Amino acid sequence: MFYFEHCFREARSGSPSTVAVVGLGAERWASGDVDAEIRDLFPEAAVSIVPPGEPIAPCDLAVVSLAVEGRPLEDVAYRTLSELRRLLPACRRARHVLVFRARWREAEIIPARTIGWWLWRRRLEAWCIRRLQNSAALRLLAGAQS
Amino acid sequence: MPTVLIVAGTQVTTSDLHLLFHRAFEAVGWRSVFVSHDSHLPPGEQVLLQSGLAGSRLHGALFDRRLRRVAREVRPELVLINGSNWYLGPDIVRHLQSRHGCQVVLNEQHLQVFQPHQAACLPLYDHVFAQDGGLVALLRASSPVRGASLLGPACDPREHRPLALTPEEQAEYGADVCYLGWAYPHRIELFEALDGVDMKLWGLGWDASEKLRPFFRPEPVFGLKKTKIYNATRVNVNVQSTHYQLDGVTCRPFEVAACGGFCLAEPRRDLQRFFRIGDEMVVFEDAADLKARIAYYLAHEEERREIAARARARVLAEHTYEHRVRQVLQVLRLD
Repeated sequence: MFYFEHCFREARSGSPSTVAVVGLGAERWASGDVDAEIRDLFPEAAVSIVPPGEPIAPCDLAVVSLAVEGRPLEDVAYRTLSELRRLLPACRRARHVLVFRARWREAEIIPARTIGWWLWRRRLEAWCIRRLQNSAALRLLAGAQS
Repeated sequence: MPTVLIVAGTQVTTSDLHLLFHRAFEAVGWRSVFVSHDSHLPPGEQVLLQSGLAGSRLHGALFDRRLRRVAREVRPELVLINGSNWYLGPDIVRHLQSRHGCQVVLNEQHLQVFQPHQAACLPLYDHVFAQDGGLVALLRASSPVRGASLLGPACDPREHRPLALTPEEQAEYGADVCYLGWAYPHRIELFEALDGVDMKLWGLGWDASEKLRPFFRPEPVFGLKKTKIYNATRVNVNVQSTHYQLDGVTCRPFEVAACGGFCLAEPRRDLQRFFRIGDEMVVFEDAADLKARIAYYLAHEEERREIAARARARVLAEHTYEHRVRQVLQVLRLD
């Protein structure tokens, strides 16, 4: 559907012809929904399902689904950084990785060669978020509304 | 090629209609540039949003700076704030108009025009479109807008379409009755009254009702899955929010119709602007009436299919996002 088409266009990642969908082993729908969307959007693509923990063969796109609960607009990637640090390096043989937040449907496509930088940036952002959430002075400085 | 800059959200909470407007502008020959305010954000805005500081002065400044930069790069003829104006203040609206000579319009879908920055922008917009006839009347009668028009809900035939479902999909998504949305108290009350009906409830919060818990599928619904659900369901129910509409309806009846599905809807003044009631769309008055009509239309499959077919013909002929975009361009004399 168009949301995913839009994400692929924005990421300029091209149309994948080989896709590996990795689940976190939690809810079946979490990887099932994105799997169905990918097959609908790229009907010519060869899509395989890879059980969590198994190595991913070279492919155009690896999909990692996060099924963890969260609030609307909350990016659960920050709460699952340890899992992502375990899962994402296994996707290095893909050209791109789609990190899919399944609960509130947010897809982020990153070039696999930037996984290390992406994880570092997310860790830094997570640290900043914690500081901002816990410091009244910083919130005041940012001009928080009461 | 003229350029529209669309400012909106992309997360599923805000519905996909903003992206579907984006695609429709491209379909009518415009270059469309989408500026999201809730996802795929630059690090500064992302950190502030995730810290609960969206709407803070710093967040506003960063968002303004990004919007100014994009506008400078793409030089739009039109800036369309779609959904609601969550973050733009009067200064940036004036800047876009004076610096780029473009029209800035709001397409309001949630009745969110009363916060201070939203109200301050009302007299500045070149036009305000609203998805609710009640809000349009209110804006015309008692606000300083330059012009206000109803811009109805719509469907996208590439997104909302009849599908050939597998038996497994039919079993997974199908039911006699379905509802997809948040479990507001009046909705819980309505569906609790449907004793003995085979139904599936999708969305959020239905497990608050012990009676409805067995019917609740606590998993997200969007995109293709939503289209499959509308295809697989015999009777799709449409109940509006008591918070976000006056006379209006959401996209649901239009999307169901485009999928070839049958919809039983709450009576709303706007609904009869878009459909012939009784012929293309059937309405119900209360829980007892809903239950009776569900039983009737489940027993009269041919009649149900004929109504659904007429509703589909109507939305494809008059109520797609391309129709809405052409209406916008006509009102703004940009066609």
